[in-house]
Amino acid sequence: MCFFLRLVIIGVLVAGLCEYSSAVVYAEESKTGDPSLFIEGAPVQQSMVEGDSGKFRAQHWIKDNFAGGLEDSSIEYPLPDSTSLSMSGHALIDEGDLAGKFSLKKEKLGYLDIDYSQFRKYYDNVGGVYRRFTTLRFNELDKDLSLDIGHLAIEAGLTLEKLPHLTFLYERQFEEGTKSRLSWTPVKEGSVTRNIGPSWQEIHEVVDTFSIKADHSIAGVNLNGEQRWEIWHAKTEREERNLSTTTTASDKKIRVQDQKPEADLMTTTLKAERWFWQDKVSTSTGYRFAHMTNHEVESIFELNENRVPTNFSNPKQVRDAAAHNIYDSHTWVGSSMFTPWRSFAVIPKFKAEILRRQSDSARPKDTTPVSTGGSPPDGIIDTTDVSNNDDRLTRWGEGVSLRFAGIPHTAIYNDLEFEQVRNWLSEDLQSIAGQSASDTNEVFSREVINYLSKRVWTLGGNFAPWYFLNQTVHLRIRQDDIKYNNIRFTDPGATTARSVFINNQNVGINEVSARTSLRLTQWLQPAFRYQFQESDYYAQGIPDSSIREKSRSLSNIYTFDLILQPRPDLTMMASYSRQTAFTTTPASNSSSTQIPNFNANVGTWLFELGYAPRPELVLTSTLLYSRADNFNDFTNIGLPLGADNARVDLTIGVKYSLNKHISIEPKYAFYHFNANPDAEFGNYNAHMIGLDVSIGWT
Amino acid sequence: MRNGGRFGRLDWGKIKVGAFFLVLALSFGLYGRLAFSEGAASESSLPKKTPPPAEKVSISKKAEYVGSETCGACHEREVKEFQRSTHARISVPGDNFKVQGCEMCHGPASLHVAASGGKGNIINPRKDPNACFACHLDKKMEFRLPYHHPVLEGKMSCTDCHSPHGEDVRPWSATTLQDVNEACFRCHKEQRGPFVWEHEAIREGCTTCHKVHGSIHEKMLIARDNNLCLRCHTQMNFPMIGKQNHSGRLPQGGCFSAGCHTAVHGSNFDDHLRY
Repeated sequence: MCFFLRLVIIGVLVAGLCEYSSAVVYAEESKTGDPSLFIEGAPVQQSMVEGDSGKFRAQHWIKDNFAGGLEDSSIEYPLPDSTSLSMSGHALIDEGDLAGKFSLKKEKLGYLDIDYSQFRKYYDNVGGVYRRFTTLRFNELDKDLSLDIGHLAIEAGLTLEKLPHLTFLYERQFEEGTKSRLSWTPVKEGSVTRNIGPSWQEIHEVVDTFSIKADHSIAGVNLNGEQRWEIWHAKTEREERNLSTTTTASDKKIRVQDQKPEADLMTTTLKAERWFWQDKVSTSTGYRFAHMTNHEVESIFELNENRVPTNFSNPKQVRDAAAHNIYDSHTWVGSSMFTPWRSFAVIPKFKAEILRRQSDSARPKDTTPVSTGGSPPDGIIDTTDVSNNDDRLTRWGEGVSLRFAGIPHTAIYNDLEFEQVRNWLSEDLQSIAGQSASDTNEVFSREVINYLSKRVWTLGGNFAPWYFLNQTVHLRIRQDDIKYNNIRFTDPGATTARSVFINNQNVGINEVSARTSLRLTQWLQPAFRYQFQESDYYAQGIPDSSIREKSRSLSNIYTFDLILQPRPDLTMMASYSRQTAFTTTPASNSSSTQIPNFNANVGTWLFELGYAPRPELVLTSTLLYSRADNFNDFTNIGLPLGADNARVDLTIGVKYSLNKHISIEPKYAFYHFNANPDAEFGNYNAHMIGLDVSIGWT
Repeated sequence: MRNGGRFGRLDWGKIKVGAFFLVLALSFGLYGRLAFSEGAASESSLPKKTPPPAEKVSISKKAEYVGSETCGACHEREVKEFQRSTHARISVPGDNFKVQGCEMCHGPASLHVAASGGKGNIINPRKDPNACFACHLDKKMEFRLPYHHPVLEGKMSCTDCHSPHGEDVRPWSATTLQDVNEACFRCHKEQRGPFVWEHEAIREGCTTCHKVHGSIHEKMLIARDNNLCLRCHTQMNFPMIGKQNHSGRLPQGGCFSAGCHTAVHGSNFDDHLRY
């Protein structure tokens, strides 16, 4: 297959070059313009990985072992009568990285664009690490995980003068492959269980989109409309396999979830905009209607380690559950801009939205017979969970933005934004008896009106008092208050779940960022950016709604950038970024179930170098060093999941132009990842060698 | 039978590769047809040039700033639209301060103007995220963290999510026509729902839990352990959550592991978001 593909690529390239050569001759004869061609091939790229190749692939988006192909190509050709043609593409076949774009455009007539692209996302196939285990300390799937993601789009437009511009689009997006999930599975060694077993999900997803757009100006009003249909369907299969050193059959059960979701979405969007009074005032409005229906069929199978359907205690056997959702939304927006003076602008905005969601589902369960050692389900539905939910939401949004640039070399802005949401929600879940009596534990009902009030205030500026100094400052304060007005809810017993347990929630987010850029000389340009974000979460609920529980996430990020150009042929850049972040919740102070603060600290150094001692020779190199140090050993009471590793990436390339049109670039890269074995699995050292060949012609 | 790989009826790999080469072949074919069938020898008004690699040097070093008014001669709509945009608010006035308006991101445009437009003679941030990184230094580094959206790899661009000309560069504010998560759902449709049982946190935005440019944690989570969920799902009699005592479960691992709340984005069947 790959050999065949390579032959096709070479054939296409040769054909393209032949046609291109002819076209150049033709262009020279006919004087229609300057066609240009650029091809960059990567015929050789070999990555040799020692260690966890899955993690290497996931972190660098690079396939190990051999990969090669066409890295980039483009051809542009101006034709007579204001017509232009361009094509571009690349094909790194072994990496599943393909793209092709064709564009034909004629001024005052229209265009045709065809665009295909696909790339591959890799996933690590190892779950977590628990250092106190000896046998099952970490666990690896027996399959490599990757997902091909791509799209094909065909867009044609008519751009005739004095007539509405029309655009027709067909697009197919797809995802195909298998990805990892963080729904890790229980791993048991002796009497201790930690959820560190890897899990995966196979995905086959296709989205077809059709769209018609029209764009026209009438009496100075720009009108824009779009009608869009989207059809989405997918099949997925998720597998979670419990692991254990014990001989208990239920400790090795496998759970498989099959899903077939589908959705049809239709949207109608209309926009209008007009500028008045010598462009000092503008106003615009927009409306969108969206109608969506989706359906899903789902089954869950619980299997024993030999993949035979088996009921253990509290079994999860679902057969052909079906769900339906209908969603409608109407959204109106409007905004204006007033510029009474050249240096002052006011932009008021508003939004109004109505949403309705109606949902129902039925989940038949085959949960008998049950035995300690496991029994096959009898194929008769025991109970069916039936859900009926209704959701009606209204949302109002208002905003005003003030901009002032009356002070020389200074721009100041001040934005205020408000949002009010009223959401009426009715949720009911009933258990219908089948072979067995209905399950009262599944009964759930709730009717609630929740009110959200959101306020955001932003103040910032950009100052450039001298040509060599640029300073920006940005402050953003956000407050969300959510109040739950619980009208009806179940409270079935002392220990079983209750449907309502939050009465109020308040979230406050404070952000500050500042950037200083200095252009001291042509050869020395440092910059510094600081960001601070603090998010405070307050919840009030049962058993005493008068007490507010506080959680907090806080992060500081410092980034330095230094650009040095001591000689015209030498450019160096050094960057350093340090993030200190933590999340803390009331669980950190719990006497019975303590979960310490979660830290997410990381520091990264990056050096980049470009050196061109001769016009035909360019040396480029990057060096990255990154260190995350977040292992907190509370393994005796929990499962630490903080990232704790060191990473080095080094790339070196030497580009040599053989002549005006052709250049070659041998490349070498070294990638190193070293994880704390108590915190995570997946060390690797990787060496990559490659050669790029570029051909350019104008 | 149930170990995956059951979607093999259609060989999508072959179909996609076939479609790719069909587009490429069509491109070359059409190109050849057009190149030779249009025999007119008129002068083109669009002398488009793509600099060959050896000449791909920094445009900004060769070009001069021309000001947004010059850009408006051809890009009237974009220039007007930009006046209302978030980015326009930091455009610093002043006779000696030339980097304003369009050229803040697109760089000096004199070469582009001299060539009557075209590609390759002006910075296109859609194709080169370095234009954005010039101010957003921190994002360049975040994209280099182990788990990130593939912007530096060239598989995405900043404009896939952000609308740099638009009224809101982050088109998920309280007054945008787009929904708060629409930029994410363009690709992540499986999380879009609607679900029978929704996770209310989704309404607040994906960024409530995900650090979307890059993270040191898988799936770009803000926090990797149960603290992520406990920020909201906490109460004074913890480890009770609702009326369930979670003291036995929380030490074992994440809230969305072990078959518990595995459908964190929403479930069609389970009120506790279990599958």
